[in-house]
Amino acid sequence: MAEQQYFKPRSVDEASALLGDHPGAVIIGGGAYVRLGSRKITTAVDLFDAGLDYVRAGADGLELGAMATFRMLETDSLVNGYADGVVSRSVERIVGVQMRNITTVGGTLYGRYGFSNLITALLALDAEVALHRAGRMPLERFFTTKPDPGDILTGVILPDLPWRAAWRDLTRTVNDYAVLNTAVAVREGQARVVVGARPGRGVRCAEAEAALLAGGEGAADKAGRAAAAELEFGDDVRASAAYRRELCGTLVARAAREVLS
Amino acid sequence: MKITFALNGRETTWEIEPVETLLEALRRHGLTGVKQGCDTASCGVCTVLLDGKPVPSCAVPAARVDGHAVLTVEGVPEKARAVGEALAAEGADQCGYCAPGLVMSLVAMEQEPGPPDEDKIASYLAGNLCRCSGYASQSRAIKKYLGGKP
Ligand SMILES: Cc1cc2nc3c(=O)[nH]c(=O)nc-3n(C[C@H](O)[C@H](O)[C@H](O)COP(=O)(O)OP(=O)(O)OC[C@H]3O[C@@H](n4cnc5c(N)ncnc54)[C@H](O)[C@@H]3O)c2cc1C
Repeated sequence: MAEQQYFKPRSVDEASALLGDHPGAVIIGGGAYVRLGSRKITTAVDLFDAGLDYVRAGADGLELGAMATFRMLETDSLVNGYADGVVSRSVERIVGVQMRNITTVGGTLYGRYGFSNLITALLALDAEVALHRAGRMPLERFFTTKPDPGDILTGVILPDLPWRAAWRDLTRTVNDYAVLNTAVAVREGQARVVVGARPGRGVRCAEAEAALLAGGEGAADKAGRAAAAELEFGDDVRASAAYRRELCGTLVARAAREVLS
Repeated sequence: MKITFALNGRETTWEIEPVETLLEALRRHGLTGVKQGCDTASCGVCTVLLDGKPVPSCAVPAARVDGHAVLTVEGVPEKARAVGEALAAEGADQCGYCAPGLVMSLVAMEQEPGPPDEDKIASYLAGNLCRCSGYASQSRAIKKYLGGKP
C-alpha cells in the first residue's frame, strides 16, 4: 500500500495545488462522513486551517464559508437574522452540539445527500455556490452538473433578498434524519417551495410555487396538495412513499401558512 | 507523522498515523478517560474539546489538531469529580461509560455566554446518549451541579 499522507493547507490555493499534485486525494470537510478508518485514503487534504470557517456579510449577501459548521449556522446572529432564520432552523436539531460542531456547509453540499436539511433550506433561498475552479453558480445548477473531484467548494452566497421563510420537517425521534423536510420562502412576486428527504434530494415544486403566487383563499393548502401530487417519493426504513406523499401535503401547507400569515 | 498541539494545557508532540482518529490517538497515548461509543459521531461518549468546542473525537482526524488545543476529561479532574458526585446523588449514573463525554459537554456549556437554562441543557444532553438512567435524572443532577437552580 502506498504511504499515507495528510495535508493541512493554509489557503484554498494551497489546497488546490495539493489536489492537483495528488490525483485521488480526499478532501476532509467536517470529516463526519469521510470515515477515516473504513476507507482506503492515501492522501487527505483537510480544509480545517484553510480560512473557510466564516459567516460574514459580503458585497452580494450573506456568505457562508465551506468550513462553517452547523453549530455556527445555528447560533450566528447574521444567519438567524436572514430569511426568518430558516437556515438555522434547518440544522439546529441534527444529532447533538458535538456533531454540529464538526459538520460543514461544504461537506454537505458536495455530498449531495438526499436527506439533507441544509440543502433543502438553501435551495429555497436561491443560494449560489462558489467553487475554486468552476466559479460561482446557482446551487440548483451545481446539483445538476457532474461533480469535479479536483475542485473545492469554497462557500455559499445567500443573496440580499427580503425572503419570508419557514421550515418544517418530521423526524421519528427528535434527532433522527428527517422522514421529509420542506422550506417555503416568498417575497414580492416570487415563491419557492422545496421538499427533500423524499428520500431523494431537495427539489423545487413548480406547481406549488404557482399556487402560492396565485394567492387567494386556501393558497397554502393548494400548494401542499400540488407539491404532493407533482413530486416523486420513495420507500426506505423511515417511511413509505405513500406516507411521504401524505406528509408532504401537510408540511408544505403548514410552512406556507406561516410565511403567508 | 508528527503533530504538536496543546493537550490539557501542555504542549505535546506525538507520532501518529496519518489517518487515525483523535479518539484512537488519545487512547493509544494512555488518555483512556475518553471512551469509544458508536464510532459514528452520534452518541457523544467520545466528546473532547477542540479549541474549546465539544466535538466527537471518533470523527476528528488526529492530524487535524496539529497547532490546536485539545482538552480531555483528564484535564479537568476537579470538575469531573464534582459532576460525578452530582450524577451519583441523583441516581443519574449507572455504568458510568457516558460520564466523561458528559463532563466535557458540561465544561463547554459553562463556557458559553448566558445562563444555562432548561433548553440549553436539553440541547447539550441530546448529544450525549445514556442508556442506563435516562435524562430526567441527569438534567436534575446538572442543574444541581450548576448551582442549585430549580
Ligand atoms: C451521525 C450523523 C447523523 C446525521 N444526521 C443528519 C440529519 O439528521 N440531517 C441532515 O441533514 N444531515 C445529517 N447528517 C449529515 C451531516 O449533516 C453532513 O451533511 C455530513 O456529515 C457531511 O458533512 P461533513 O462536513 O462531515 O463532510 P465530510 O465528511 O468532510 O465530506 C463529505 C464529502 O464532501 C467532500 N468535501 C467536503 N468538503 C468539501 C469542499 N469544501 N469542497 C469539495 N468537497 C468537499 C468530501 O471529500 C466528502 O466526499 C448526519 C451525519 C452524521 C455523521
